[in-house]
Amino acid sequence: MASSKPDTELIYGQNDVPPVPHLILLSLQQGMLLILGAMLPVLLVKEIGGSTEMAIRMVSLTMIISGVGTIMQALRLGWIGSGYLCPNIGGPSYLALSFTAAIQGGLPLMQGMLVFAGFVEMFLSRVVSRLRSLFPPLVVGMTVMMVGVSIIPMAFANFCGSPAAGDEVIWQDIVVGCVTLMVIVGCNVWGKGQVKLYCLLIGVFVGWGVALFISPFDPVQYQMMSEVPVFAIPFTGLSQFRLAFDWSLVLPFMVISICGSLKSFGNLLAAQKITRPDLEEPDMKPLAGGLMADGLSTAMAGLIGAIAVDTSSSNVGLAAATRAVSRWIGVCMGVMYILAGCFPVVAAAIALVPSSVMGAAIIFAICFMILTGVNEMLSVPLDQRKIAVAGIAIIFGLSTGFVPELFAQLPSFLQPLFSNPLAATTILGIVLYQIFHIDVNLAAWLKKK
Amino acid sequence: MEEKPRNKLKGQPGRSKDAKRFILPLLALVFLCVIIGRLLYLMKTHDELYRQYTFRVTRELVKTVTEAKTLLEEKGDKAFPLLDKMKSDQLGLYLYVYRLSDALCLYHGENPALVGTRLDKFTDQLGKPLHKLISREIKNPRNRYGWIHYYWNRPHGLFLEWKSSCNLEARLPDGTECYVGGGHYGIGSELEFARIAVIDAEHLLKTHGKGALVELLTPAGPYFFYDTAVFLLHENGQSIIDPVFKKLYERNLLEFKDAVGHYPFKNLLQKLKTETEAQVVLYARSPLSMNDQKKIIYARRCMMDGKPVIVGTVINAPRSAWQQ
Repeated sequence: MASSKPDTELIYGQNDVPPVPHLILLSLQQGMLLILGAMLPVLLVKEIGGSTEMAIRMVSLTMIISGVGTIMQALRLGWIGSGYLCPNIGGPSYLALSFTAAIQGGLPLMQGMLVFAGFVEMFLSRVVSRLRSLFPPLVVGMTVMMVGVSIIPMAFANFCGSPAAGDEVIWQDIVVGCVTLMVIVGCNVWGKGQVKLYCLLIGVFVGWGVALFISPFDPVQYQMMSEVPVFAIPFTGLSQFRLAFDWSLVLPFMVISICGSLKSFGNLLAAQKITRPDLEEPDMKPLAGGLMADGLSTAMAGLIGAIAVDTSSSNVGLAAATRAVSRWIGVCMGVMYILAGCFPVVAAAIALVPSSVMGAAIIFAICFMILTGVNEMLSVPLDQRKIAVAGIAIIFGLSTGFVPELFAQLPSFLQPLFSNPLAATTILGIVLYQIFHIDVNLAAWLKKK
Repeated sequence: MEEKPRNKLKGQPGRSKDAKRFILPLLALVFLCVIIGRLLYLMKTHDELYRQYTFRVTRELVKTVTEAKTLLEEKGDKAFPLLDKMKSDQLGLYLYVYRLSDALCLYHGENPALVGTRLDKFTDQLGKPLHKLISREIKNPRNRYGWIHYYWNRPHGLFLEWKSSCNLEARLPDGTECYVGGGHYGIGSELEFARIAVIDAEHLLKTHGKGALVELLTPAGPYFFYDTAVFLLHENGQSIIDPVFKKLYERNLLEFKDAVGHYPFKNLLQKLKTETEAQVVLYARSPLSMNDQKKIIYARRCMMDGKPVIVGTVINAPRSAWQQ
């Protein structure tokens, strides 16, 4: 096993190739976390009143495109990809707007707008390397932290069994969630060797086992297995590639694409920080490549009729927790996802993992995401200016989650910027940092002159 | 990489090290076998699926009432202590048993003081006569689990809420006809409730014609639940019972545009040209949220006095907690 020097702290560094059994198990572990994202198309199809076949096809397509995106991200072919373990997932960032487009003009409109959003992100990837001054460690840390914060609602709802709004939360789901979390954390903190490496996989299986003994059995879920085809190529013909466009959706999709890019930027930064902890400032080239791969995946998702894909925060967190950041795990996981996309029955089997187990796994992963961000923020001495920037951006960002009804009164073109803590914090952080340092920057510029 | 020589040390310590290597995989295998065994057992022994219901709490409720009916029919009043055990404080679920002939309370899981009292004069806050409605619904073939909805406050609660209860007819071993039921607050987004109300209204219109309108309009009837009511349209989109005003009111709904610019009633009528039942989505603007509120219109084509009409209802669509 060849290991590069900076990887000494890691179990499997960026370019290390783990032995095949470990590679498969680590990929499976990473893939488990993506399942929730891969199941998001079901929500979209339900929203537009589509059939079960449509839902299965869309899940398959999303899995395939997630796999392709993850491989592109990990391989770093030319200027596409970052070379980091930063898997792609069906992206919740685009979900609400995809609903709107699909409702307004059917799937062709959603697909067309996703292709547009992908191109916006690809364009941003070309200019991001020139914007390094906009991303000092404080802003980078806040972005990474907020990436974790923004998925808390989904993670916690799943921890509680993912009930429909108005349905009851039952104690069995909470117990299963707690047991899973305790096993994962226990294996990660006190485990050694393989127990530490596969902490999430062990936790998921123990949690699933406990659920089978104490949770009310829901045969409906298991019944689905018999309804899903074993093998299916999810392409129905040229009509699948029909795209439509609506000028009224350009601005919202552009804004959400910028927010999605910021989120991916945060994920890629976190992946870089975990993979190459020796770097003193961000290496923008792989980040730009990562954004390019992300944009290309989104455009491809739109083209073939999947939902938008996005980099996954929880998987970056898991890589940090297990210290296995080899990009070959990403490649292997991508191949697994492409295969699972063609064998819907496999995807359905993995989707049987109880929600509370998945919620616990994601909570564990985002712990590392949030703390990686906090570490990055505190890596520079905080003076009064930085405290003001961080404090105001975080307070305003979090308030979008605490009092969303107040932000609902904003003009509609501004709403996407304040629709979640990540977008609001990042944008405010960037703007405020520049405003509060205007005199310093000006003095530096004059001195340089 | 150079392979390390294995089992350098001969004798007992080496074997012990080898044995240790198998402990974890062996434990994993045993665990996996237990889990697969349990799964197979559950798959073989599971009850009816109740797939028509969205909420877990609804499925649990129907399952509990069905089990209670079986117990009562087997053991009669000796089953009452067993019904106590089926009570769930967590779900706020308790059971009750009333005699069908005179609404006498035989068993009440929440308030035993009600045993011996009669329910026949009892109405909810909208004037719904509960015993009369339950007696009707448990014999209604279109309402298999005898669902009724009423407006009431929780035990020791102050504010009024909608409650849905599931009721089943049971014959005790001594020949007493009774019904057993249980309820839950706030499960209004079940599409099944809309389906039951609309199919029942369709039947009423078919058998009573325009005479059915009075019953469809009364808030004390079964067609008014969760602040929604059954609406009635002509095939050209002209309303007879308006879905918003919930009264006789004529206007053309074809041009009604929802929050995202859709024409839900136009789409509905389009679908109903070829199908007998249809559901479409409607988005309503909510001033307190950036997301529009999603509703579902469920409707059926039927005949009233020989003329084709559309009968339907609008309910809130269920959403995941995190989507809220």
